[in-house]
Parts: sequence; structure tokens; C-alpha cells
Amino acid sequence: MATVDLARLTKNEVSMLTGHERGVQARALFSLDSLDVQDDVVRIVAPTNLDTITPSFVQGFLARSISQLGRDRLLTKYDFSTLPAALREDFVTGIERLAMHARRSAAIH
Amino acid sequence: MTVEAWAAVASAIIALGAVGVEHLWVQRRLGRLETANEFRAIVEQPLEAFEKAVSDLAVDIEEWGLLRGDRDLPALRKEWIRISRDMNRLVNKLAKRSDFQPNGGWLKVTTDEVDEAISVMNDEHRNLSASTAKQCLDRLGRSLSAALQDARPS
Repeated sequence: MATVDLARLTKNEVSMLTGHERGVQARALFSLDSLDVQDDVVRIVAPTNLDTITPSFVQGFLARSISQLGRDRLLTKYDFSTLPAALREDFVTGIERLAMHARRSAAIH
Repeated sequence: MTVEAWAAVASAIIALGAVGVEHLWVQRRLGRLETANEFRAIVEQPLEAFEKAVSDLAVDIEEWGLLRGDRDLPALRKEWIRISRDMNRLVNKLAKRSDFQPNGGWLKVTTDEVDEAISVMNDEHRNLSASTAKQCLDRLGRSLSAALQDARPS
């Protein structure tokens, strides 16, 4: 199982992960593109001082994964179970937002 | 049939028609009332609560920036995180509905700007960072009002 430790982003200084662009950069830092094509489950872990992960960060972080895997496979590929409930919900909120954007753009095209 | 009989048939038809029209009118009114009540409960009341929470927080942050008030930065951040989480949950819920959609959809109402401004608030640039966060909160309040207006059923 691969692990993505968000402490690499917070460095004990930041308590909020915000912004689409920062999500995209974090995606590159953790090489999520290559993890997405492997069979391994990816476990997300976070430091205790992380208070929130905003929907915009999640959207930057996982947009390519949702278009690659779809919502349901993404939720089995990424393991959020060790995160505190609030952060787990932050991920779910961002993923739902991504899924809605995907549905809307599919409906338009 | 006699003239009287024809007249009776005609009156009966007119009476039935009137009852039918009235029934439709009442149904339509009830339908509208139901929609208005549902809108009030699902959209209006929660968004009004958010508008108030956002505006209260803007005042608290302004106070903090002016070295007044009794709330410190971690408390203000925590309060924003709570509002932001609840609001994002509601915006997602509303975006799934096909009714009550404002122009362009609920997904346009985002907390991004405030998230960013509050995440960089700091003691070193207290006044400036508080004033930026307050402006962002004011804008969010206005965009909530606009979305509410757009979504209101006619």
C-alpha cells in the first residue's frame, strides 16, 4: 500500500490546505498520476495539526484521478479511513464537487 | 327535450366547469405555496443563517485586526472552518437539485477566496490581513444574497 503523508505539505507550519493550484502542485509532489495507474491502494494520512482541507485543494489534488478512475473507483483506490472524521468529510465534499462538475460538463457536451 | 330541460343541462355544465376551474386554481395556488415553503426551509433559511454568520465573522475579524475584540486567530480560523464546511455541504446539496437553481448553479458560490485570505492571516500583518479577509467575507455575503435572489421561485 502506498502512503501519501500530508505532513510533507504542512511542515508543521500550516493548519489549512487551501487553493486549487496548491492541490495540483501537491498532486505532482506525490506523483498521483503514476499511483493512479498502479493496483495499490493509496492511504492518505495527515498530521494532527491539520485543521481543514478545502474543496478547492481537493479538486486540484484529485481532479485527474476522478477523470481517470471515476468517482466510485477513486473512493476505493484512495483510503481516507485513518483521517479524522472532519478531514475525511473535507475530501468527500471536494470529491462530490468534482463529480458534479464532471456530470455538468458531460451534460453540456 | 323542453327548453327548460336544455337550460338545466347547460347550467349543470357551466356549474361543473366552474368547479373544475376553481379546483385547478386552488391546486395551482397550493402548488405555489408548497414550493415557496419548501424554498424557505431548504434554501432561504439556511442561507440567511450563513449570511449572518459570515457577516458576524467579518466584524470579529475586523476587530481582531484593530487589536480589539476577545477572539484570537486560532478561534477565528476555527469559526471560519466550521462555517465553510457547513456551507460547502449545503452548496453541494443544492447543486444536486434541479429546482431552485440560481443562474449558473450553486457551484459558483465558493469559499475559495475566504479560505485563502484566512489561511494567510497573521500577527505580523494583522491589520492588512484582517482587512483583506473582511473584504473577501463581504464579497461572499453578497454572492450568497445574489444566488438567493436568482434562485427564488417566481
